[in-house]
Formats: sequence, structure tokens, C-alpha cells
Amino acid sequence: MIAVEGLTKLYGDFTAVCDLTFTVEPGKVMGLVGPNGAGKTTALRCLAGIIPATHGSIAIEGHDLREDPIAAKKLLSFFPDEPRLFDYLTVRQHLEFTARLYQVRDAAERSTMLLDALEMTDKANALPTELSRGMKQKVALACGFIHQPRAMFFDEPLTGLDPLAIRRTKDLIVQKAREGVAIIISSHLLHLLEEVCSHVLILKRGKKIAHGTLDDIRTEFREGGKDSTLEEIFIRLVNDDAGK
Amino acid sequence: MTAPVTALGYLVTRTFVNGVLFRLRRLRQPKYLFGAILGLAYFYIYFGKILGASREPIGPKFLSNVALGPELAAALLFIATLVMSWILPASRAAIAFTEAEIAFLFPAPIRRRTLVIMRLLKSQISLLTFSIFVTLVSGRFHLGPEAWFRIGGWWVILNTLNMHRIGASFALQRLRERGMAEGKRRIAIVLALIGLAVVVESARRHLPPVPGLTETVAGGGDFLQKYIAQILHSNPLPYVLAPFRVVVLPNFAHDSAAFLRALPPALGIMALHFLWVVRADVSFEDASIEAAKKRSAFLAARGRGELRVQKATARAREPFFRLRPTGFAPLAFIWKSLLKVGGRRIISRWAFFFAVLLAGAWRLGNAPHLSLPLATTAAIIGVGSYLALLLSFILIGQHAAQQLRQGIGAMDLLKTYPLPGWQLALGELAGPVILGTLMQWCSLGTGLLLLHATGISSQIATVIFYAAGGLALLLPAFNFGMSILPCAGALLFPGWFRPQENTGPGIENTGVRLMLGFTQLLALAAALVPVAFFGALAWFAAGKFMLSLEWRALAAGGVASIILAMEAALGIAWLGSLYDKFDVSSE
Repeated sequence: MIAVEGLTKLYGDFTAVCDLTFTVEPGKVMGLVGPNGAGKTTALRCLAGIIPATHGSIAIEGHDLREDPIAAKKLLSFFPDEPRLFDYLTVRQHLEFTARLYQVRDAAERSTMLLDALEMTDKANALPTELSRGMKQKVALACGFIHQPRAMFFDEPLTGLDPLAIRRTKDLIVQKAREGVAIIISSHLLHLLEEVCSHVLILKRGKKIAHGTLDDIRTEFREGGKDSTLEEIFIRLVNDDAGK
Repeated sequence: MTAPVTALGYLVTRTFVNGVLFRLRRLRQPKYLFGAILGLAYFYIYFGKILGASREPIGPKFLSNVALGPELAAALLFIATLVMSWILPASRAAIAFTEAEIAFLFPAPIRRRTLVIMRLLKSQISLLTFSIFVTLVSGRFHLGPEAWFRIGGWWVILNTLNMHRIGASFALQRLRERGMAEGKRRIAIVLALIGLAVVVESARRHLPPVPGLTETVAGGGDFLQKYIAQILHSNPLPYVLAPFRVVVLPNFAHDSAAFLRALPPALGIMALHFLWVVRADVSFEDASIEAAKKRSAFLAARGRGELRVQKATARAREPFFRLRPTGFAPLAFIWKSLLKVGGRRIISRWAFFFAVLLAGAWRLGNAPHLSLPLATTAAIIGVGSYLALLLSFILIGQHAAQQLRQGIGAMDLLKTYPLPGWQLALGELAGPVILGTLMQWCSLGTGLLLLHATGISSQIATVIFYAAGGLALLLPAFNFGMSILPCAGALLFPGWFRPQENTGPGIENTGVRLMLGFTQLLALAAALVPVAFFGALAWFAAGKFMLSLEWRALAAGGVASIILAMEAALGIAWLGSLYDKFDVSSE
């Protein structure tokens, strides 16, 4: 479970993220949406322990990220928008390296299983330079899955992927949620988020302007007695807020 | 054509003005303000005091007494540079555009010829800047108005060279397009060289024999000067050099009249080059795009603090050892570092090389008698080993620090690892430090094994042996220490140590680099104070117990090693805490 209480991130006088409080239960997928500059990536980076929050607390499966960062980080995975791989490590060597960092005992079996599941077995000895962007994304996913995290953070995971890769990534996210992982995804592709997310949190200038299950949000922001899509709700909320 | 050129004018002037304003505005940051002050002071001292001290222009003087010597020599140099444009061209004709220029200009409704003109116009800024710089460095600014003739002269030379280079690449490209293969081009070059050899041979027949070394030394260089004067004035050289002399002549004018007389012919040749280049309708777009990509990759690599662009690794590397999934996590970084340097194959080659070197040194060191060539070889290897060792004191630390600083670029990833900061720091630094230390030990060993070959007394050899042993013990901790300081700087003041901002030109960047160098030296000196203090304390304490000299040295060295190791350990712990506290968002 991901539990966030009063998360605030300040840069001098500028508030990038303001007083966010929410929880993501195991097996749930929360979409973090907002216009550019809303603070999505900053919030995700705080949640993954990459940057320190100015105020508030973040707990992964009960381990406070500030008090016990090692225990908390062992249980999470962060997937940046662009897969960052080492030029001189093969796909399998990436997994071996990550396994050692996370002290994964049965790394060899898990690597084989992951490579098989991601259809990368034939690329196990390939270097990143020989891989397409989609394949690099798969390597990043395999590295993030190898220690069986209980919380996952995806920053724009579907951007730049072809339709097949998008479908595969979505399926993987849903599968991980079914396995009981708490997941947060930031994305601009709202129609795709609707397919995988159980919850949505809409950010505007660092502040939460809507939060709840997809159904709650649809009910709360119905217009003319009929349900709207997430995209319509998002545009309405963002524009309303701008109008104010 | 006016519209694109006007657009280019707008682009160039706006870029220049915005660049100046940006640099002025960032002086509000203390880093750049101090950098600018220090940089200005440096330039003032260097150009104003050091270069100004002699009040004499810098440059070759040995030909100044030969009539027309400098002009003819410059013309020869000019020819050599032109010839290089034909011998060493790029594989395809390319004009230097930035990626942004390519993105905006190539799809625009602009003719190819206009693109060439735009590029030539744009290059004027850098050529003019370079002309001023060369005039400044050569001390010509002390000659009053003559400095302007020099700037003008350099501008003509550089422009002609630049256009000739482009024209040559266009001409060769056209020949290729018309089916002239690389082999044929080489044959043409060889034929041209044979022609040149014929000219040289015919000139040689008119010359007296080459003066001997003894004559030249005894004559105080007069013989050589006269000989060169004769060469320069022997037919057909003056006629061959005439058109090239015309281009370099404005640079040698001493008054306005001479400059104005020399300028029109030089500008005429420059104009001919201009026509040659703009009238050549050669496809340069593909090669220009490729060149822009390479330049962009180079700049990106420099921005990451790397000295060169990492080549795409051709094939997978075999790890030096098998990494088990559990155990001390920093070992994974060492494993990764060893893969980065080439894995088992490359490390084995280096190990073999050092084994051969050590064996050879041992053999030479124990030979009862060495012939002159062998003694020379031994001396070269010995001196080379110690020089390598000396250089490594700085280079290993810098390399390790560079690896860690590159890691800062991937901090998003590193920060998610469930490791305390000190393990990350230790892991990132350990690989380069271990490899570097092993190389240092080999260099030290090679030098020691060759000691006997130098014929020094056994007493001195024993002292050197002990000193080297002590040094070998100190090296790992010393290397860690040397790498911790720049890393700590990068983590403490990321804004000051951001490589992509400090590598560019500019007075303030020079100042920042100077500042960083001084700070590092000061910090190193401060770190060595406790080592020296406790080492000295141990030396005197051992003396109190009437220990022999060797034992006192051992005690002092041992204590110094322990202090240095403790400092390194504390440094790693400190670096780790900086890692933990490092806020990537402040980057």
C-alpha cells in the first residue's frame, strides 16, 4: 500500500506539490493526471524517494520513506519516461546488476522467467544499442519487476510506444495490479488511463483538484445528467479552474 | 535571396545579443560573478602583463632577417593547409550547421546556394573572433594601429582557407558523384605529389649542398638562415608561391599604405573562392545532417562530463567475475565498472601487457651487463613508468570522480536503489580506484625492477625500495581521497560543478575552472595536513624508543597510511550522506 499524508514540495517560494493526501491500496491503480507543469513528475519523484519531500510523509507498505528509506525502496519500483540503460551491459547483465542491488536470491530463475514473459529471451545477450525503444522499455520493466515490488510508479509509461507495445505495457500493469501491487501512473493519455486505472487524482499547479475512483469522479462531475469521459472531465476541470 | 539572408541576420544578431544578455544576467549568481572577476584578472595578467612584458610580438623570428622570408614561409604554410583540404577531406561534402539550423533552414523554401551563403556569412563571427584572438595572443596589440592590419590579414587568410576547404570538399564530392572512385582520387593525388616532387627536385639542383649540423651550430644559425633564404629565392619557388603570397601579404603590412596596397589582390582571391563555392551545386545536406548529429553527440557527451563520445559498443562483454545476486551490494558497481572498461577480454590483455612489462623489467634489471640499446630501453621504460605514476596521482581521482558525476545524471535511477548513500559512493568510486591502483602498482614495480639497470648503489636502491613500498601502501587511500574531493564538490554545489555549463568558452567559465582547481588543491593540502602531522608524530615517537631508521620510517608510514585510510573512509561516509541528501530537483 502507498500512503501519502500532506505531501508538499517547495522550491524556494514556489510550491510544486501542495499538501497531497491519498492512499493506493494493494491491487489498485491510480492515474495521476494534470496539465504540463502541474507537478506530476515532481510528485512521483517524491513518492519514489528520488527527491525529498519538503513536508508530509510517504509510506510504502508501512515503511516510512524518510525514516526507513532502504526498507521502503526495497518494496518499490520507479519507471522513468525514458528507459535509462547502461550502454555496456547486456539485457541479462542489467538484470544481474539490479538483482544484486535488491539482493534477489532467485535472480537467475526470475530473470529467465521475466525475459520469457517479455519475449526478450532471444535478446538476453544484446546490448542496448541493438534494441529498439520498445525493447529498452521492456528491459527497464524487467529490471523494475525482478525484486517483486509492492508499489510501482510509472512516469509517462506509454509515450513513444507503438500500439502493440502500449497494449503489452497496459496488460502488464493490469497483471501486476491483480498480483496485489499498488500502482501510480502519470500520463497524458487519458483514454488509456481509463482502461487501467481504478482511481484518478487530478493535479493543477501542484494542488489536488479531484480525487477518487473513476466512477466517483464520473458521478461527481456529471454534466447534463450523463456520464462524461475522463478526458471531458479533465478539460472541464482544468478550464473551470483557469476561469476562476 | 534577400529574405533568407535577412532572416539569418536576425538569427545571428539575436543569438549574439541574447547570448551576451544571458551571460550578463547570470553574473547575478555568485559563481559566475566570481568566475568573471577571476577570469578577467587571469586574462589581464596573462595578456597585459606576461605577453606585454616583452613588448615584442610573439612568433618565429629566425626568418625575420631573410628578405621576404616570413611572407614566403607563411605562403608555404598556407599551401600546406590547402593541400590538406584535398588529401584529408571528409568522406562526403558537409557544411557545419547546427541541428536547429538544419531543422529550420533545410525544409524552408531556400535555395541550396543561399544556404551556402548563409553559412559563410555566419562563419564571419567566429573567423573575426579568432583573428582578434590570434592577434592578441601574438602580442600584436602592442604595435598600435598595426594590430588592425593583423586582424584584417588573418581574417582574409582564414576566410580563404575556410572557403577553399569547402570548395575542395564540393569538388571531390562532385568527382565522386561523377563516378571517380576513391582509388582514382588517390591516384590523382599521387600524380600531383609526383609533380610537386619534380618541382622540388628542379629547385634543389639550383641550390648549394645542405649545411652540416656542425657548420650550422658553429655559424650560430647563420648558415641555416642563408640556406633557407636561398631556397625561398630559388626558381621556380617564388613564382609558385606568388598567388599564395598575395593572400598572406596583408598580414605583414606595417603601415596603412602597404595594407591598402596588399588588400585588393587578397580580397580578389577570396572573392574567386567565394564564387567557386557558391556556384558549386553539390549535395551537402545528408553529410551536413550527419555532421550536426555528431557534433550534437559530442556536446552532449561534454555536457555529461565525458571527454569524448562513447562509441556504440560493438558486442557484449564478458564479466570479469560472476556477480552473485546476494552479498555486499557495492560489488555490483565494481562489477559494472570492470565491464565498462572492457570486461574480461580487455582486462586480461592489460594484465598480460603488465606481466610482460614486469618480466622484461625484471630481466633487464638483473642483467649483468646491458648494451647501449638495452640500457636506453630500460631508461625509457623506467622514466615512462614513473611519469605514468606521477600523472596517475591526478588522473585516477579525476576519472573516478567523473564516473560518479556521470552517475549524478542518472540520479533518478540511483536514488531508487535500496542502498545507503555511502554504498553508492563506494561502489561508484571503487571500480576506477581499484583498476587505477593496480596500474600504479605495476608502474611502481616496473620502475623498481629496473633500479639495478640504472647502476645506482645498493644503499640508495634500498631506500627507494622502502619508499616505493610505503607509497604502494598509501596509494589506494590516496586515490580514494583524490576522487572524493571533486565528487563532494559536485554534490555540495551542483550549480557550480555542472559540467555542461563550465566547459564552454567565456571569461567567467575560465574563472570558474580556475576556482575549482584552486579549491581542489587547497582541500587536498588540508586533507594531507593530519596525515603529515601524525606521520611525523610517529617518526619522533619511534625515535624516542631508539628504533632504527627503517623502523621509524615504517612506523611513520604505517601511521600515515592509517590516517589516510581513515580519512578516505570518513570521506566515503560524508559523500554518502551528501548522496542521501542530494536533491535532484535542485539540478
